[in-house]
Amino acid sequence: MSSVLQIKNVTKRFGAATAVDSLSLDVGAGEFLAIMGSSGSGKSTLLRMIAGLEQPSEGDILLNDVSTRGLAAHERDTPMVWQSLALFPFLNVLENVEFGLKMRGVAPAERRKRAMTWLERLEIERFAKRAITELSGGQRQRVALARSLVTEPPVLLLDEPLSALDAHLTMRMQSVLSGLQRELGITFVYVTHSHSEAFSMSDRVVIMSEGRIQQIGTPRDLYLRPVSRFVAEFLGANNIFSGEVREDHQGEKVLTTEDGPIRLPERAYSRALGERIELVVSSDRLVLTDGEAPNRLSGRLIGEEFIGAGVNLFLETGSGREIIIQVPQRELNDLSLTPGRSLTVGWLPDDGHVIESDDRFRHVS
Amino acid sequence: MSLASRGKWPRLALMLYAILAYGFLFAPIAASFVFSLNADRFPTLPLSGFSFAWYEAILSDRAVWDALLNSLRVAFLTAILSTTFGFGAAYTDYRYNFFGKGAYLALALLPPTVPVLVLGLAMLAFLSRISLSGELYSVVIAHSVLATPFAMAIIRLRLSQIDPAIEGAAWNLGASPWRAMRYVILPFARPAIISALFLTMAVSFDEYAMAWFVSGLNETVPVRVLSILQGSVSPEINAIGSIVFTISIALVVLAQVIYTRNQNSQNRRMSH
Repeated sequence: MSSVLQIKNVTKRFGAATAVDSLSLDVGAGEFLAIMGSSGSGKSTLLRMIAGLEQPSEGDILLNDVSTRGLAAHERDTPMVWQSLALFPFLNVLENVEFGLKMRGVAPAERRKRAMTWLERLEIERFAKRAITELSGGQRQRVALARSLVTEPPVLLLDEPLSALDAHLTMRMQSVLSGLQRELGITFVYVTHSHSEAFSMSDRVVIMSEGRIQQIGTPRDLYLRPVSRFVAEFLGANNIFSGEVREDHQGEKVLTTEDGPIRLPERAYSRALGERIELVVSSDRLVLTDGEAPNRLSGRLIGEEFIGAGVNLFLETGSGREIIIQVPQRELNDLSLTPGRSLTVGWLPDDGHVIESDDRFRHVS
Repeated sequence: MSLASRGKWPRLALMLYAILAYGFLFAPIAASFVFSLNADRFPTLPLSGFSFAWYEAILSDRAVWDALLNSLRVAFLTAILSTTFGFGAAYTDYRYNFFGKGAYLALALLPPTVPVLVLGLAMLAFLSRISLSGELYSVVIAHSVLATPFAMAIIRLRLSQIDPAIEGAAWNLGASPWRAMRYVILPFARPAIISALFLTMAVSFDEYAMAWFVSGLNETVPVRVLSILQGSVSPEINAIGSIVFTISIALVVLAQVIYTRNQNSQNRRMSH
């Protein structure tokens, strides 16, 4: 896979603040890349630099192997779908879509034809003569997409484009977006703070914090193997145990915690005795058990949260640690959820994932 | 609490108050208008008869026509100049952040708060020093100073309603900064620009004091009116006053209507 977009050691400073900190990233041709991070993580600044709306303080951004240094926004072909959509309210739908072609000097008849093709592709051709004010949110979204795609760019930048839509429309637009991306083979760089948007559509996800990439990988990678406590917490992991590597009386590697020893996954057997590490166990890997399980913890039920297909149960262990376990609805039928009752959860050692005990990211969350 | 939910008497009292207030404001103008159509030479009641005589007299006066032509020329040029400057100042405020922006804005909006007598005298002193006084364009210069803040205020209000991303969106789609101005910012601001043109025209058309100081022999209508008044108290004054009032109010109403219509379409957009 060749790179369409290469970001090389890019730093962006605003006065004394560093928004993006010597960041490097390669985006392949036809890739759907999601960039996630909380606000202030530098993800939007990165996108604006790719579009030329900001210039990097240091480093370079290459588009199709050509440096963009010194190129103004209008001199590069990196259209963006804006969070506010930024449609031109005084132009109708067709004129909005034609705008990019008009600025590139395409003749009127030709640009009308090409714009109409895109309106048809996005199934909004019947609104061609409508004013933007007469469209619904979803229809405006499609106009914004058509307007950006009409020049058939190598890369499309998307800055939280679905954040203004309701849940139902968001789902529909997600499938429109991933369908379009696959069909066109255009590289999408998609900035969002929504887990579901990033994970459902993208080939790779970048997690950003404090202007740096914390982790980059496939959604599955990130979910199963977060590299740091920050990433684990950012992706919603709650069951994170920290402690020291020891050997139990059977010679097995365990993690000593305030709630007793926890057996480590086989992958972590190479860890040295005495090393401080953290162990993440996803809440859907925990099961309720009445005795036998390689790893076990007991706790008092302190709360529950309905999440549709199942229920999140909140337990408090003897040491005061909170544990979240996701239980399918069918298992709840014969279980009384009296607050305060004692429950035991178990899991397989190999369902745990070890992350470095690294304090660098603690203060961020 | 709505007006209707109050008792009957407070409601009547309020209506009476409003009528009196408007009466106080408009009675002199209305009286001037009525007497301009009265055949009698002196403004006395009862009215003696209906007549266009005073309009005929004023409209056959060569000096009045010259003054009207001067006024229209000055108003037209002032409208264009002050709207251009006003747009520039408003766009600077919308687009850029810089040290001393507060002072810049205060200075830009200052002229109408200075007494016109002071402004007029200052203009006369300054313009005659650089040999720009006593001509019709001197009035244009003076009026542009006075009218620019009005244009700026209207256009600034409009630009504050723009989606901050929209100019970037135009660049992003291949528009150079100049073409983004031409194809995005100007069309967006157009209702405010047209409105500003009419309003600044009205400001110039009405203005007397500064015109009197710097116009030299080139009288504008308000200056002509005062010359007539100094000569004699004639009902012609009522006639010319009514004409000036009608033109001015028409310009202000036009400015208002254009802006309000645009405002309504904005609200429609919001309610979607």
